Parts: sequence; structure tokens; C-alpha cells
Amino acid sequence: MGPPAARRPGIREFVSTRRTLSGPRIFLLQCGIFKVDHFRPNGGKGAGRGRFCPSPTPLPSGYLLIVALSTTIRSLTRCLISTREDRFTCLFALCLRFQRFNRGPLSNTLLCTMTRRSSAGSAATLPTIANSTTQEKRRGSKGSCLCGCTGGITALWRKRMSASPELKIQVDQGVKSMVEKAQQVRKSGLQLYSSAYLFFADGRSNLNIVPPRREIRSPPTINSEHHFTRLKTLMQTLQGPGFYLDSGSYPSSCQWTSTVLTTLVIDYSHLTGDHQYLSHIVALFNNQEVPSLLKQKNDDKLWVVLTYLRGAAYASTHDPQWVQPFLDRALLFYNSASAGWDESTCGGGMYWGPRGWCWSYKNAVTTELWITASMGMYEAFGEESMLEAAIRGWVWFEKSGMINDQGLINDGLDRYCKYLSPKAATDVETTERRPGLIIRV
Amino acid sequence: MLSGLSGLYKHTEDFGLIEAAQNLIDSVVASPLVPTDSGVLVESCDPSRTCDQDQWMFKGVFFEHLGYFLADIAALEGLEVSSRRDLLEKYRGFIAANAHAVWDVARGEDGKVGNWWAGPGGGEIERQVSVETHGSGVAAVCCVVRLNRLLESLEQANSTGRKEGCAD
Repeated sequence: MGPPAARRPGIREFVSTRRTLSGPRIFLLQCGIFKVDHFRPNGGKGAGRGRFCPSPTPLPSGYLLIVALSTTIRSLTRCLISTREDRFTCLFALCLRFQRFNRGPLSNTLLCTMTRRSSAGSAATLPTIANSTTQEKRRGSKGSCLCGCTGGITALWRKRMSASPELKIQVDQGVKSMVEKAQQVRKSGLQLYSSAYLFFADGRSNLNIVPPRREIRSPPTINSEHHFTRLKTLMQTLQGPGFYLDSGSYPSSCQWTSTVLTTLVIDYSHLTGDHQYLSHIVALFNNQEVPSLLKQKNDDKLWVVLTYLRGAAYASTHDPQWVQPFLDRALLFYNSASAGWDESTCGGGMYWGPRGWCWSYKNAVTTELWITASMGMYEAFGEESMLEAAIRGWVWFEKSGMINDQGLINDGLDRYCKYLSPKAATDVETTERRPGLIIRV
Repeated sequence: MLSGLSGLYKHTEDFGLIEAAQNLIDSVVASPLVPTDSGVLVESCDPSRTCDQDQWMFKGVFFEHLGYFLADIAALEGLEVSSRRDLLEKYRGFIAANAHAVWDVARGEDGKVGNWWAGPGGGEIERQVSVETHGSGVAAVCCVVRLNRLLESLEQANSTGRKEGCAD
């Protein structure tokens, strides 16, 4: 079925292998000029990341690898490969040219399939995937995108569900009321997580403590100094041999986890006043792959924002020369992510992916990050639009029913505003249609 | 999210935000993510060692932001000290339980923290170990250290307040 490569310029070589595992056809497109997303054959440990396959090596039995990309629209056609212990799942790989080759209807979910890893299938026996156009580290896709991302390219012009008028009214009213409250409070908003806040509460000075829904058996009490000693020891291990000062990161981490880990280092330094790791934080700042990260999904970008907001707060107490560079970095990523907020579908929410990639899926974590980052940005920069973004984000989040009956947060919602169950709670890609205001019928 | 809510609260003083945040935390504590009353957070993939890189990091992110949330609350000087302390105390058992489990149960002989904080301790079973699982452990212990300091500072504020009261 693979046509000769010569028929299509831009595709040097096209090798197809067919397997008959549970239906979908499996292709291996060998194309050195194309981008291949991060490939984690070793269950997420990072082996094989960011490399390209120079020769059409047959896949070992039991493995799937699907790559379908084009040069002209490659940003739209990355193949996302998610690996778990016992399977690979290709989340989305659709290429218009590829579709023409095949002369058949390729559904968006064409490549969603699973297979068991063979016992011999260690990283060494897998074909190496290398990218001749980029050497940068790529991070892998997330399993939870499995359902949400299947909209693929076509989701860009497919029908989407708008929010019901009732929801829109409720959100607008909620936002208005909170913005008014914020105006009443009239705080400066320019203090980075400072403790000096004025307080103009409406006569209340006590919090309502919600009774706990479950009593936890308290562990034996130990001296708080012991906890501190333990923390120091664990931090030494974290920043020990697994950490590379020349990159400011950990080779086995991916982009989002490396930025979160650095945030933890910042927190530790800020909290304890142990400043020995400042150079590690600065090393990440100097070596982070900014152009690559700016092409990543919105949650990745927002984790970066949070890192540098915390970093600036820490630097302001210890080494102020880093405050402005950190804030500049936060602003760069915040502005880049802000395009992901959308009200035309489902009345609000943050798209998981950048435009054209996971653009049909609004992920809860990404929306939460947007709220948190907007809040932090407002405190750093004092722009009203940032405060309003945080308020609108939260009001929509709460009213859209993103929080389920158990009080847990759903994983996200697709372009039909259908809710996906929380990944952490179920760890399966089940979907559940929740009746709610959001669904216009 | 939690720290976003406390941040929003600071600027709007909408008490509903703090209640919403408590509901989110309490729901996690009451959910199957915390399988027993010992209070240790467990991802469903933990015992079977099938977590991916993202899941290794999630517990850490949760404790990181829980810490920010509590720090924000503790710093709200317009609220009664006792009120702030009560909220912090509400989560002390849960946070301490996880910090203990990280150190006593999930830490291997090489000092690295594995993925599953409950279950048999130390070297008895093999755990997934990565920079992310270790980082999550760091976050839980960091959270308890932060909580202890916040409670100490509130205690101090309380005693200072009392002294001032006496002087009057």
C-alpha cells in the first residue's frame, strides 16, 4: 500500500509494515526530515528520547510505532506516543498527505491501539528514532490525552459545542461579582507572595473550617528539626549525581518535570535559607530549551511560569539581580500560553495543546495552571487583565461542572464538552457524560 | 489550583474560595487515592509499578501546592490567628503521615524515594525510582517542614498578641 516515495516530494522513504493486531494498520514511516515526538520505549525513563531513526529497522514483535508527519504541516501532525508499562499507544498521527497515499478513510483514532511489550523488547532492541532536524530533548505525551486528542487536525474545523446561554450568564455574573470584590479590596497586587496583606473583609475575621470528611490517624510526632534534617538529606540526593550543572537539569526528566523539580529546589531554598543550590536554579534558567518549550503544550508552558514566579520571589529575598530575568521568562511563557484560553467552545477553559495539536481538548490541569499562573502574574505585574483571567478561569471551572460529584476534578473535556474521568482516580480512559449546564441540547 | 484559590482569596476576600479549596483537599483525602486511614496518598498505578513519568510527579505537585495554599492562609494577617491555625492543624495529620511514609517506607537503601509510599517498607519490595519519584518525596517532606514553620510563626504571633493584650 505504500506508494513509491518519489511520487511525493518531501518524503524520502516510506516503509510500511502491517501487523494485524486488533484492527488498525500499523505503519512505520521512515522519514529523516520529519519530526518525531519523544519516544519512550522504556516506560518513561527517557531512553531513546529525541533521536531519529536513520534506517528502516523492523520493529520487534509486539511493538507498534506509528509516525506520520509532513513537512508542510508538521506542527499539526506530530505523532504522540504514550508508553505505559505494557503498551504503547499512539495518540494522534494524522497526515493529510498520508491520508492521500492510503486512499482510504483514516479516522482520527486510526492509531489508537495497544500492544503488550515483548519480554525481549528492551530499549536496545527497538529502532532508534533520531531527528536530524533537531537535537533538542522532547517530552513525551500524556496518557490522559488519549481520548481528548483524537480530534486531531480535523477538529480545527469540526463542529464544537458552545456553552448554554445559562452557563454564559452565570459565568459573566460570577466574574462581575468577584471583580467588584477585588476592586473593593484594592490591594496593590505588586507583592510577590508577600505576607503583608491588608484586609478589608466584610466584618469577618474567621475562616469557616469545613469539617474533614475523613480522620487521618496521626503519625508519631517527631521534632520538626528532624523533618528539616530529612529534607536536607533528600535534597542532597536530588541535587547529587543525577543532576547536571551544565544543563541545570536531570537527564532522565522531561521538560515539565524538570521545571517542576527546579521549583521544588526553589521552594526548599526559599523556605530554609539554604542558598547552596542557587547556581543550580540559575543553570536551568540559562540552559532551558526556550524555543522548544514554547512549541510545547500549554501546561508545559504554565509550569515554567510558576517556576520563575517562585524563582523571582526567592531571588528577591536573596539575590535580586535574578528577579527581573526570572519575571521576563515568566511573562514570555504566560503570554505564549494565553492563546489557549477559549470561550467559543464550552464557554471557557484552557486548551491542552497549542493550536492544531490537542486543540480539541480542554484539560483540567491546564486550566487550573492557568488560574494559578494568572494569579501569580497579577501579583508580580499588577495588570488587571491577569486578575480577571484568574477570576474568569475559576468561575468557569467551578460552574462548568469540572469538579465531579465526589468533589474530585475531572481530567478534562472534549470539544463536545464531554467530561473525562479523573485520570488519577481511575487510571482508565473511560468517559462519562455529565449532565450539566454546559451541554447544549 | 489550591494556591490559585488562596491567591484569588487575597484579592477578592471571597470566603467561598477557601471553602472550595478545602473541599478539593478533603475530597482527595476521602477518595480512593488515600486507601486507608493511615492517610498516605497512593496513585492507582503505584502498587503495580506501572506509573509513567507524569504520574511519578503528581503527588509531589499536590504537596507543593498544598504547602503554598497553607502558607498563603497563614500569612493573612487580617484573620484571627486561631482561625488560621485551625485550618493548618486540619491538614497536619495528613501531611505528616505522607512525610513519614516517604522517609520510613518509600526510601530505598540508596536514599532515593520510590513511587509507592504505602505498602511494605524499605527494601522489601522493588519500587519505581526516578528523579521524579524522589522529587515527589522531597515535596511531601518540604510540605511538613513548611507547615511546622508556619505553625511556629503563628504561635509566636499569638504569644506576641497576648503580651500586647496584657500591656493594655
